[in-house]
Amino acid sequence: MRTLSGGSGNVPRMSEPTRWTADQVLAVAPDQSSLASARKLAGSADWSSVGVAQQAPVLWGLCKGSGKSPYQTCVDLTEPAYRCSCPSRKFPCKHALALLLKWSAGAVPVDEPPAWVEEWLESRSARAAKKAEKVAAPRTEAQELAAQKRAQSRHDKVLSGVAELQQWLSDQVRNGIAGLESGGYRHFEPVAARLIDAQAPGLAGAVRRLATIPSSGAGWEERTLAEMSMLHLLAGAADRLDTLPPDLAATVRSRLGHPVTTEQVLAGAAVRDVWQVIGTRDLTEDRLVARRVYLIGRDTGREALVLSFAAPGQVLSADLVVGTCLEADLCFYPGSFSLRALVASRHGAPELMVEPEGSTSVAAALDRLSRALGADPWLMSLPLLIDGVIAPGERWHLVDPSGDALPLEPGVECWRFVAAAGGAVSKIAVEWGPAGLVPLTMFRDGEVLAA
Amino acid sequence: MTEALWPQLLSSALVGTGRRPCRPLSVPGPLATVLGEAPAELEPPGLLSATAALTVARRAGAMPVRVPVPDPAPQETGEVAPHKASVRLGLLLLDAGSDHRQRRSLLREWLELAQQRNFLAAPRHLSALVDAATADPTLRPAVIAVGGLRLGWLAAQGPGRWAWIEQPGPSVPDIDEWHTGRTAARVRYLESLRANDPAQGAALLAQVWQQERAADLAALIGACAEGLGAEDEVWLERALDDKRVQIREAAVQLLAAIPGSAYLARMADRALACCQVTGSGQLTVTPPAQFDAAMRRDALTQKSPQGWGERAWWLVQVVSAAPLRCWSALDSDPARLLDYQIGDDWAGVLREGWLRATVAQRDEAWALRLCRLPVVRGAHLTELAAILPAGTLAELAGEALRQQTDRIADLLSAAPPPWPPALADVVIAWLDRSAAIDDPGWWHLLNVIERSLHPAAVSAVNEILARCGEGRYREILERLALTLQTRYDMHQEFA
Repeated sequence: MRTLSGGSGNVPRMSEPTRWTADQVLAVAPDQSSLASARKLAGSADWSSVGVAQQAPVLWGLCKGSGKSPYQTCVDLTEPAYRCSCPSRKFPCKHALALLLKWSAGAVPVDEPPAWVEEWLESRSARAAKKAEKVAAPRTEAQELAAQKRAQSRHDKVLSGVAELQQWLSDQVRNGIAGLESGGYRHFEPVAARLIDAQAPGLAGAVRRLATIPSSGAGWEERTLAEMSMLHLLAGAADRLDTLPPDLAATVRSRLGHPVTTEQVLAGAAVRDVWQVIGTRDLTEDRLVARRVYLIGRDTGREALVLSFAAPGQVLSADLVVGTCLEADLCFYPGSFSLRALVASRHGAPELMVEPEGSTSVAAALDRLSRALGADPWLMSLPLLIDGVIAPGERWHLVDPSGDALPLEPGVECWRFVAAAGGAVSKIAVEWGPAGLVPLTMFRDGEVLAA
Repeated sequence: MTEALWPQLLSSALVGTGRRPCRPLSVPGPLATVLGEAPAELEPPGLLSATAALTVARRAGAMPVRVPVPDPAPQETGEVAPHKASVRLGLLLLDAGSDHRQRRSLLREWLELAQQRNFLAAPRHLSALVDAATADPTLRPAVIAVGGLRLGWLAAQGPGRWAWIEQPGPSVPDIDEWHTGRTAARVRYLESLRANDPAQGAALLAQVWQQERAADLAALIGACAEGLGAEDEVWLERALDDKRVQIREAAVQLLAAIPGSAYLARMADRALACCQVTGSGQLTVTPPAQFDAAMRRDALTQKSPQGWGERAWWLVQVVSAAPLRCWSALDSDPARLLDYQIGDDWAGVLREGWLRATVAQRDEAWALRLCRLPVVRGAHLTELAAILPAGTLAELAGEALRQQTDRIADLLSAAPPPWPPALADVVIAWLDRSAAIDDPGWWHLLNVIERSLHPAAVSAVNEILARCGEGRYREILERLALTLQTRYDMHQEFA
């Protein structure tokens, strides 16, 4: 770690915020075409009065557009947040990206922020304060009662859906699952739809995922039976929710799909640490793109997952940049093993991270995994940070210096990591899943490589 | 211990517990808490519970597998490109935006710059470079050059995946390959033998002549282009008596390359027989009336391709195979024939023959004359212009620019970058004058200019831009200036 002093105290404010690498700028681009435009724009002579503040981590510049007056472009590096007076609806727009690229290349001088930048910063902090106020306001007694009543009637509905799911699962096993391969999605859809009606979207989603397994190639029978059994386990747990320890009950509720409000999460205890952003992965599910950003606490060693969603055409949040770390309070969703979290508050700007701390051997990572599964048997993903080498082959592996190896997910290859490492041990962030590992990021020689 | 139970559970679930009840022989200790001690038969819920317990146990209790750790890559001896240049390469390799062609041409230039300066690409970019060169074979030599030792190592990690990276076979193939190897290896062997001892090579080919298949024999004859000399004419002439057209075609390729060969004389006679000067600056053309056995022996084809009349096709074949020198029999400055009045409809056919002959024989005088003909355009023009020396081409492009014809782009594409100062000056002066252009050919021309003009010309283009008013032409100039600036920066980043 280059820029942070030890301990979890205040991060010393640098005279100029640490510059991002070009790769990190690329990571926040909403799409490839904005990136291409930004790349051109960064080299053009259309820019004037660009600067980076000494006191606050903020960049700005004026960029000549097609109109009369130039666009005012400004980036607050803490979140990061972007503002530009151009009409683009992309976020960040090509001007903000170009400004970041310029800065990353060292072409932005330190300067005093002009008045329009100051104004924007002030209006932002005013808005943030208002939001915090709203969150802090407690619910009234009547509101609390109504909420409890709603939860109870919802739970009754869920239980009726759960009972039907249990019956359906038993029927499959009684009649044999061999025919599912040719049955297609249609066989699963009625029960998934029924679970939606029963307000158990988590279970419905699990049934729809199950529907994809019979067509997933060799070994589908084992995988299908395994996932059916995990659903059975979940249904059983839902049935006797009241008898479970509170944390496990919370895990079961979240797997069923009970909503947890942001307020409820933020009301929990915060974990303050220097959070290292070690990897990200975008997945499309139900026509919605979900971005998973994985963090590992430098001091606590705790894993965290920050999720964000976007409908097609919308831009995903890019406020956590791989290869940076930020001192922040994270609030975790309730559960017996809580991975998903929200950033409650930030302390200072993100810093560039040369190499994340807390990488382990394969054996230690498996140890970590088994403890997590012990707490949450339904766990489907967990970030691991392992010192090792990616080994190509019929089936690819991540192998550590002792020769211990874990298989990658079938069909996953990562020549980029192989070429860059040249067989040398590197810190590799992966996402564990029941089918195998998916490489996310490689940290090597001060470089951050996305898979 | 749990492993024995799993197959029993799976087999019952597959066909259904209704037909194949699940009666586990023994239940391992920890599972007894889930299933009870030795239940006689598992009902579906029990089976699912047991499976769930085993599934979690398998996931949580997974043991590492053992695989060999890959051999480390050899220590690199070359130097990696400077940091800024590497960052640029990373940007160029992103599959970004719509300007695919421009990015590809910048990538090509980056690779050339790195190669000239003996820099390597950073290892983290190798896999993307390999992908780009797998899709576009023309990039391969440059990628191999900037790939360093790491590239060969990478190829060895995925055997057979990138055959083009793996080094070509031993420099001197041995005789075993001649006897048992594939055609390509045999061609290589014969080539190396011919390079040292042409006669021995020809003798070796003669030994196997009878038993070879036509395609292989044609390829082997082609290998004899190595070490070709007048003494090869005898066996090549014999090859023309072969019934198989592939063999004759391969043989005439070589015969055409032997100066003073009887084959060239025959073609010259045929060509001259078709043309007659019938007055000052007047030419009368009479294409062959019959396709005879001698023509077939010389690998001319009788059947015309679609769009060609038979006689025209015979004529064009004859003229394109005849040595251009032979036309001095009709005019002391033979290229002048291009300006002759030619009767009937044969003028275009004859010119096509001459054009093919010029490209094949790389004749500068004929090429220059052909380039000046307004009817010659497109790919033909580029092919011809590529024969001209840089100075001549600059002059020619200058003429074309002054005439404002749409042939400029075709001519300029032939001029290899970087353009000589004379040509660059002409182009810049022309940009300065061409304030208003509304021509679809413009974009093609712009592409050529932004690719080949020396990037230092950006200052000159910026000066023009400063004087230029608003409008479409300004946009064009802005784009040009931006590309040149990018290329200029790219060159600087290697400094």
